[in-house]
Amino acid sequence: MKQNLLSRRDFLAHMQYGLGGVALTSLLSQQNLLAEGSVKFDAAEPFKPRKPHFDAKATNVIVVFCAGAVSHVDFWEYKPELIKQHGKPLPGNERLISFQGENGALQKPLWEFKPRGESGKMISDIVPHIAECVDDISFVHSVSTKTSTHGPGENLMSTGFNREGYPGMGAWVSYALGTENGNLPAFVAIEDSRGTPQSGLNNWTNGFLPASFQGTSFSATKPIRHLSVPTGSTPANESYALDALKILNQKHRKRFQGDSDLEARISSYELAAKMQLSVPKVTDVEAEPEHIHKLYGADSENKDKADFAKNCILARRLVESGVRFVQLFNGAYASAGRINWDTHNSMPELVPKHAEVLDQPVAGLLQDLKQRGLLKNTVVMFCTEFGRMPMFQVGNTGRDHNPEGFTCWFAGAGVKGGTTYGATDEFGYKAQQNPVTIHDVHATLLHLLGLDHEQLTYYHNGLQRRLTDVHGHVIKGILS
Amino acid sequence: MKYLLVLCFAAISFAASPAAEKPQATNDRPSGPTAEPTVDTFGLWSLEPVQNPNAPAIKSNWIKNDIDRFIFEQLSLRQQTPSIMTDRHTLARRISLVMHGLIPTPEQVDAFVNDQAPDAYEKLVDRILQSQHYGERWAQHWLDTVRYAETTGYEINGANGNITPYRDYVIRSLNEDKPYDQFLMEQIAGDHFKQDAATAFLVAGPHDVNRSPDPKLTAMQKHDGLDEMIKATSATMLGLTVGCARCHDHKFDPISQKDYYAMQAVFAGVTYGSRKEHGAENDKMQQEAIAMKPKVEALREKLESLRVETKLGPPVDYREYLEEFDSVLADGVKFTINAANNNGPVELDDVMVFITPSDEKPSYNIASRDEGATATSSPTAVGNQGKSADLLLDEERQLLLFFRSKDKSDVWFEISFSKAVNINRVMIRPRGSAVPVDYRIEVRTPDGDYKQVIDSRDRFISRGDEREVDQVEFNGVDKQTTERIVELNKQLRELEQEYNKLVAGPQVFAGKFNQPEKVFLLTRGDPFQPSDEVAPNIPAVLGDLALKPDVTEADRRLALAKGIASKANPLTARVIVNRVWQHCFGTGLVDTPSDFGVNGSSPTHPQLLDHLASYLMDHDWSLKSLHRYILLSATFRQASHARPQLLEKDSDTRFLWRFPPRRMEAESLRDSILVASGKMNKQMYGNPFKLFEDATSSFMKKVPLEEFDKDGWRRMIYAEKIRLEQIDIFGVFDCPDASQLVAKRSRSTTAVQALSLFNSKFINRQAQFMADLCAAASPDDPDKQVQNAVQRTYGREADAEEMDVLMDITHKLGLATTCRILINSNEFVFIN
Repeated sequence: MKQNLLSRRDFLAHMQYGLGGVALTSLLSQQNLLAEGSVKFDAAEPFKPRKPHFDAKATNVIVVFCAGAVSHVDFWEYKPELIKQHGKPLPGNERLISFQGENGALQKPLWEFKPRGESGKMISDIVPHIAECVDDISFVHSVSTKTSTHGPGENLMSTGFNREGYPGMGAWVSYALGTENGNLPAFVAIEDSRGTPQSGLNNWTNGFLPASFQGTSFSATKPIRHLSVPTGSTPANESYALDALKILNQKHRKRFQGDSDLEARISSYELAAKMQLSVPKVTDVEAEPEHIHKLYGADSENKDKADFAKNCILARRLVESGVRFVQLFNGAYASAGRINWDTHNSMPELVPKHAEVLDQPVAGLLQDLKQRGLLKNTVVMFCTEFGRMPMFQVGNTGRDHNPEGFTCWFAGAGVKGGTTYGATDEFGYKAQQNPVTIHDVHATLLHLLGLDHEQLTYYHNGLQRRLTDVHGHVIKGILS
Repeated sequence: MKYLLVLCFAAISFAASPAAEKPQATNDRPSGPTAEPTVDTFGLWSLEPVQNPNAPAIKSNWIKNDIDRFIFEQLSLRQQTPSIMTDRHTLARRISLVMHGLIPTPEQVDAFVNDQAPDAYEKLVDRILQSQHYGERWAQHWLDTVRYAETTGYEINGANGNITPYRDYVIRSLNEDKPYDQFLMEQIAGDHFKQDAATAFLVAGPHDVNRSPDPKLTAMQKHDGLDEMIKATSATMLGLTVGCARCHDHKFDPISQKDYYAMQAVFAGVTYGSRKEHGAENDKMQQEAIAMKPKVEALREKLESLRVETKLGPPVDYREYLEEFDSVLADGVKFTINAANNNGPVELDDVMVFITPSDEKPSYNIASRDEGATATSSPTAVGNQGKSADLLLDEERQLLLFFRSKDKSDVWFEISFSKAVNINRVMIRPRGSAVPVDYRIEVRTPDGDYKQVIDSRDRFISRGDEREVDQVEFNGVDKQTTERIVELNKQLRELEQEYNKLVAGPQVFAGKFNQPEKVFLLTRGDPFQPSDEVAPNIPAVLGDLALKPDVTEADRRLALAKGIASKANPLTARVIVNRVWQHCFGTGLVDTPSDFGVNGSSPTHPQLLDHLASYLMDHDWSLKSLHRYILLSATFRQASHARPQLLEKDSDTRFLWRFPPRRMEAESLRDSILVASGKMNKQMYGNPFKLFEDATSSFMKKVPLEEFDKDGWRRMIYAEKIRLEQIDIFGVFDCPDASQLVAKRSRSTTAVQALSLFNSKFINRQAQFMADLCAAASPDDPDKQVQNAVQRTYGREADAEEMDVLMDITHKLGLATTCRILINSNEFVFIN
C-alpha cells in the first residue's frame, strides 16, 4: 500500500497560508501504523502472542543449520549417473572454475546409497540414523543460491539477503507471532560448542526490526550472558536490591505519569528476574532421563557429538516450553573443514567426523518430537548455505562450493513425509527439475506458520521490506 | 498528475575543475545556471526548491525565537499548548546528554543552577558548543548513518587497514564547525581538498574481500562494493534511496535505473583499499626518505659490485624466472629444496619445463596436465585448499591453488612427462615471496638416472633470503666473501624496508582511485548483461553534471560533490537539518531521515524544515549556529512531563507539546556510567581500545573482554568497531553492528538489557568505583555518601523518601549496590 503524502499543492498551501494542520494529523496517524510495518504490536509487550494471517499447521520451528555446506551428492540426493561416469569430466563443464578454482573429474559419492523406510528413499550410509526417519521427511533437492562464499551464503539462507544487516527468519517470525512463553526469549540461536557460524550474529540479527526480536544466543554448554547474579551476591540479596530499584522507578514514574517506556522498563526487570529462574531450568538437559540421553547420543564419548546432542535436547525443551523459533547450528566457522562442513580437502577423513556429530542427535530429535506429539505443531527444517560440486577439486580429495544446486529438507507440522521434491541434473550439479530458491524455502516456512510472506513487511530505508525480498513461492509439493 | 520541475542549478553545472586546483572556500564556487533539468519529480515535496517562509506572526511570552513560532502555530491549530520551561537541573542534564552524550558532573549542574546572570543559559549553550565532547557525540550520529567500522565484514571480517583517521576527521570537523557543505565535499573528493582521510566515507561499508577465481562471484563482489558507495552517498547526504534502482527503475521515487548507473560511474574508479595520507606527517617522512636514499643506493652498489666480482648469476625473482641448461633428453625433472625466502615452507604456483626448440617444432611446456604430465612430492601442507604438486601443472596463476610444502627443508617434487623429450629450460613461478633459495634441479633420463642441471648456489643472494650465514653457500666463493654478502644483504633488506615505508607515507583506508573502465546500465542488475553505456552523473531530478563518459576519475567525484553540496540542491540542507533536529528531539520533522522519497514520511512542520534549512545555508552551513538556534528555542527548553490530554492526541509528541523524553543510547549509557564512577578517561583520537579479546584468526568470532583499565574507560566512540559482533552489555541497547546504514536507531526495552545492566562485571565494578569515590569524599557520613551518589547519577539531591530506600540498601547490601541500583534506575537512563 502506498502511503498518503503531502502533495505538491498541499505543500505550497502550507507555504502560503500555513493551513492544513488538521489534514496533517490524519496523515500522521496513518503513517504511524505504516512506518512500523504490517504487524501491530505493543512496544511494551513485544512478545505477546499474535495471530497468523491464516490457520497454521505449525506453531514452532526448529532450523538445523549445517554451517560450511554439506555435500548433497554424498548425503541426500542419489545420482546413479554420477557413479557411472565417475572419473570422467562433467559434460559441458570440463574445466569448470568455481570458488577455489579448477575442478577435476566427476567423483562418485563416497558412501553407498540404500533404500530406506517404507518410502524406499535412497539415502547414504553416512547418516544411518537420519536415514531411518525418511518417512517423516520431505526432501527438496533443487535449491539454489546466489553466492558461493560462506558468509553471504549463510546470510542469504538465514535472512533472505546475501548482504549484512537484514533480519533473520527467526526475528521475522517473532515479530509476526510473538511467543507462547513470556518468560523465555521468543527466538533462540543455539551455537555449536565448537564455535560460532561464519556469519555469527547476522544469522539471528533483528536487522532493522526492533531489537526485541533479535535471537538470544545460548546453548546447553554456553549460558546466556549476565544471567547469573554478580559474583559475591546471592539471589536473596539481588531480589532485595531489585525491590529497591522498583520503588525508585515507581516513584519516578509518578512524576512522569503516562509514559509507557518507563513502565516497559520496570517490566523488563521483572521479566529478567523470571528468566533467571526459567532459563536455567529449561537449559538443564542433565535433568532428562538416561534413555533420552541415549536416544540423542548425548552419552557419547565423542565430546562434539555429546555437546550437539545436548543442544538438540535443548531445542526440544525450548519448543516444549513455548519458544517460537529455535535455530540450531551444527558446525562453526571456516577452519579448513576441521570444525565445520567446509571440506575442500580430505573429505574421506573429515566428513565422517562431522556426520557422526550430526546424525544420531538430529534423528533423536525427530523421534523424540514425534513420540511426544510435538512434531504435530513443530516444523523442523534442515538447511546449509549451499551444496558441493559433484567433482573433486584438482589436486584435492574434496569438493568445492556449489551454489547451483543442493538439498534442504523439512519434517513435521504441515509437511508430507516420505516425499521428494525437485532434483538437480543427472550429476548433481545444477538444480533442474522444479528448481526452487531460498526465497521459496522461506515462503514455505512462513506458510507453514500461517503467514503470507508477501504480507509480512517492515518499513526500512525506502521500502516495506520482506524476508523474501521481492521473490518467493510456496513449495506446495511438500505440503500435507 | 505530473509536475515538470525547472530549477536553476547554480552550483551543479560547473565542469569539473582540474585536479591541481587549490581547495576553494565554498562561496568562491563558480555559479551561473547552465543546466535546466526537466524531469518528472512525481510531485515529491522534497524536490521543490527550499523556501524561506516567514515565521508566523504569533505573540506569546513562551516564545524565545522563530522556531517556537512555527511550533506554537501548529500546536494552536490543534488546540494544544506547549509546556512550561523545565527546571535548571533538568535542563543542565538534558543539554549535556543531547549535545555531549554525557551526564553532567554535579559541579557542572551547580554552576548553571547557581548562575544568577540573565544570560546564564546562553553562556551554558556556548560552553556546551565549545566543548570537544560535542564533536565526539555528534560524530557518533554521523558514523551510524555511514555504518563506520574497522573491519571488512562478511566471511573474513578482518581489519580494514587504518580507517580510524576517518573517525577522528569527523570529530575534528564537527568541533571545528567546518561548513557542512565543505564537510560533504571532502568526504567524496577529499583528495582534491587535501583531506585524504575524509574519503573513507566511500569505503566505510562492509565489503567482501574473499577473493575467488570464479568470475561470477568476483563481478558480484565488485558491484556490491560500488552499491555500498551509491547507497551511502545517496541515503546519507541526499535522503534518497538510489540503491533501490539497481535492478530496475525505482518503484516509488523519480529515480531511474540510469540514475543508479550514472552514480556507479562516478564511483567506478574507487576500490576498497588504503592510500597515502598527505599532510605534515607525510612531508616529514618524505624528507627522511630523501635523506636515506644515498645510503640505500650506496649499499645496493656495494652488493652489485660483489655480484660482479663473484661472477654469480642474478638472484631468484619472486615474480618468475628462467633456469637454462644444455639440452638434454629427459622424461621428468626433480626439484630438491632446502630453504625458501623468509625461512618458511616452499610455495610455488607453477613450474614449466620447455622442450628444446628445433626447426620442426616450436618450444612448448611439457610439464602441463594437458600434455599428460603428473607430479609427486614430499608431504604437502594441510589446508582448506589443496596444496599438492599437481597444482604446479596447470600453467595458470590461480589465487588459491598452489603447491605448498609441509616442511621447510628436505622438500622435493618430481614431475613426470608423458614421454621423453629434449628439454633446455625451466620456468619457475613462485607464489608470493616464499621463493626457493636453496635448491637443485635434476633431470631424469629415460633409463632412470638423475642428472643435476641446476644448482641455486650459482645464483647471487636474493634480498628476501633470511638464512643464517652458516647455511648460505655460493659456488666458487670463499667463506669470508660469503659472510660479507650475507651481512650486507641483511643490512640492505632492513634499510629498504624502512625506506619503502617512508616512501609509502602514512596509509589511510580511504579508498584507492584509478581511472575506471566504461560503465554500462546492467539489465536486471546482472553484471553479465550490460546494456547502454552510462556517463557519470547526479540523479536527473537533481540536475545534470554534464560530464563526458571518459572524464577523469577525480573530476567525477568532485563534480558530484559540488552537485550535492549546493544551495540549489533541494535535499542536502533539508536532510541535515532534519538529522540535527532528530538527535535533539528524538524524532525528526521527517521521521524517515534517510528517505525523503515517496515512501518516506512527510514533514510534520514543512515550513519549519525549510526555515531551518535556509537558516543553515544563510549561516554558511555552520552546524554550530544551527545547534545554537535550536538550543535557545523554548521548544528545546520546555518541560518533558506528560499531560494526559495531549498524550492522548499526540502520544509520540510529534508536535512538540513537551520535550519528548527518551532512553539514552548505548554509548551515552556507558560513557555516563564512567562519568558517574569518576573513571572516564578523556583521551581523544587515535588507536581504538579493545572490547574483545584478540582472536587467533579473523574467522573466529570474538570473545568479549570482561574487565577494563584506563584505556577501556575512554569514550565508546573510541572503541574498536567490529562488524557482525554485538558489543557486550551495551550492544543490546540497540547499538548497531555497522552492517546497515542506520539513520534512526530503534529504542527497545528488553529483559536482556536488564540482565546486562544489573549483573555484568563491568557495571558492578563501576558501581564499586563510584561507591569508593563517594565514601572517600565523606568518610564516616553514610548519608552524605548516598547523597553524593544520587548527585553523581541524577544531578540533583535525593528527597527524604528516596533517602529512606537507599540508606536501607546501603546498610544491608553496601554502597556499591546502592550505586548499581541508581545506574539501573529509569531516572538515570532517561533523558528528560
